[in-house]
Amino acid sequence: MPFAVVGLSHRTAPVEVRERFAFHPSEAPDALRSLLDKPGVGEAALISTCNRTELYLHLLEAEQGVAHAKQVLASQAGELSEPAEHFFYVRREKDVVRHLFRVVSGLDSMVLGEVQIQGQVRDAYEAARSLTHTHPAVGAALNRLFQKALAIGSRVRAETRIAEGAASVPSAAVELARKIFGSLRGRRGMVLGAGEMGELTLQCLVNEGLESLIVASRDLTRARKLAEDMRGLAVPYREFLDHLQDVDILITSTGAPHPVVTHAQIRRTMVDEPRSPLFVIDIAVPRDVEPAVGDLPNVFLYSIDDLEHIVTANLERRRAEIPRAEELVEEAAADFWRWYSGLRAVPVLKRLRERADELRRAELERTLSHLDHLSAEDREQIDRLTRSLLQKLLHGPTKRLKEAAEDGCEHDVLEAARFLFDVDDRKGKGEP
Amino acid sequence: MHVVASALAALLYTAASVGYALWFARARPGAATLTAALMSAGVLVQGAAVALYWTRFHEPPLVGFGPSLATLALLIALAVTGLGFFSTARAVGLILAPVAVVLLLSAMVIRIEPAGSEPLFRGPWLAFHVSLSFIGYTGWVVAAAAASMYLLQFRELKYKRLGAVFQFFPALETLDKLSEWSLVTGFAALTLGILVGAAWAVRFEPSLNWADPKIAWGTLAWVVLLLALWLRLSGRRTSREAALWNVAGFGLVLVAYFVAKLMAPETRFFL
Repeated sequence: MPFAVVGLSHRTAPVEVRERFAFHPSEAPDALRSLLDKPGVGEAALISTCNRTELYLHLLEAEQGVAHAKQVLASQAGELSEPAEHFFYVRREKDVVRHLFRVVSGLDSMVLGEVQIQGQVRDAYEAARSLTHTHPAVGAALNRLFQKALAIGSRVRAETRIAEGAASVPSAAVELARKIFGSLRGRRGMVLGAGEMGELTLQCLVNEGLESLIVASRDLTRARKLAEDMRGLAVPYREFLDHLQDVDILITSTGAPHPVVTHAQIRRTMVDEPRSPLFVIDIAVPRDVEPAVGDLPNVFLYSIDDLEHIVTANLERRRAEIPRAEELVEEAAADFWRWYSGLRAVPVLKRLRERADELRRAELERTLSHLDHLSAEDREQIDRLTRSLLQKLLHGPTKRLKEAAEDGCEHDVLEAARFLFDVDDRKGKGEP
Repeated sequence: MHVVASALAALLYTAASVGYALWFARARPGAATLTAALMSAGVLVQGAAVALYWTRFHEPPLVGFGPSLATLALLIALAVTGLGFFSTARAVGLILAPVAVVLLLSAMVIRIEPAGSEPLFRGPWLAFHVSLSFIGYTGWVVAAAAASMYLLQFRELKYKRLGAVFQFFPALETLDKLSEWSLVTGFAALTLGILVGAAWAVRFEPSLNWADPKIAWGTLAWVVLLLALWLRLSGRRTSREAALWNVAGFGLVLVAYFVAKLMAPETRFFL
């Protein structure tokens, strides 16, 4: 039975197309059931994230199964300006294994090395595994494929630096905040102005546990809206200095043409008593914070340029890890494929052993019928002897057939075995 | 047998130190688990060495320079192992694991054997005095290691050099809290140790001989530790300043120790 993956990703389709193909977790079971009902489909699992929608299949009949998978995906998208087929890619056999392993490792992600994909694949696998249907959506082949994929994803992240360091400006701000304050729980933050990037950064910090949020903006309506969304407090822009002493993190994102936070203002807040560090994130262009603020003893000032430099350096470091990560993926894919190919020898081996045992039993019965004088114990000894002989005789061929299958040259060798031992494992079945 | 066990423990601590270095250099990102396992194994083996020593000499390894250093190494290794359970602070082992190696190897060179048979240096009072003092010193070593890492991490963040130190070292807040907690624990244990020692010594010498390097150094260490703790807890200094004082104080006491050792060349005792 062949493997196949049918799908589309950020590499083949723009976001407005990808969102049409996306499956809500509640829609995935029905899609899988309808696919599993189709002839030619043995096992199936669906991965749907904002960057990809993919159906992983273990098929009874390759072309038929792939066609059904395309239909399921196309029906999810509905009417499109171009045929759905234009956005699809199809991979088969070992390429499926390599593809999934690369996906889980973050090598095929829009942001190289991103970690969320590991959890998304795990969720997709669990959802397919727990699907109730006439037959399981995930059988031996996909089960092992996904388990190995999740394992290699973890290994790549543990043994390379592909997931290390922040890969976006907001996540760089979060990473820095974590290195200053440890946990952000109980920390207080203030955002000055309410630009889009400031809002995004704030959202990331709030997700990390930032509490007691103050939004100060000239546009009080917008400040109130943002404060409400983040469960914070909106204050008029002119009052921000009154609250400065109470915050640990200050994000500035105003559209002012000159610095609005000065060295003198910040120094005043730190004069009365030594305070915990102040992390200032200046995302505005032109800058909102005087550069001299960074010279104050317990102040960490980062501008948008600083954060972008961090992101660039991190992405470069991640890119440098690609060869090692690809090597690990390739190694794991080869291991998996050896195991999978080895399975192709199983029906021949099973039939060979059955046939040999049938012959042994027949010959044993015939011989023992002439040896009535033997005790039960002697008969048992002879039975054991023939079984042992058979085991020893078949050990070599069994081992070599498995090895040949694992090495990918199973076709000729298995045919030879069928011919030499006169076994036919394909009666009434498809080729494995 | 206790020497063989100590050598094995030293080997395990060395392997753990190499693991920390590889982890730090990101040459082996997966080295963290192995490092923790090696350190724990080292502690278990050195624990066995202590038991063997006790069985053989009928006293804990607290009297004599070699045994004292070995015990101090064990306490520091124990602290590293304990910190290994807190993923946010385990990187402090990068400094502490090699310290344990140096102490244990020094102890082995000096020989891990009892100092002598004077009854003065036996009994539970002495065991309490030495054990508590060593716990105090261990607390201070941990505090100084955390403080020095704080200063390096502070520098990385302040000057935006976000390299290996930034990635590997814990957060400033974590290092600050660890340093504070270790200082408090260390000071409490050392104070108690000194009180027990003083109460025990007064039976033999009614008045303290301040010219005795042991007493002068011990008093200096206690005073500097008190000062470092006061600076940390008073709220008059920033965490960075407190860390600076902590490291400088520790350095001063360390230098004073070597001076005291030169003045009192007798090597049988910890001082």
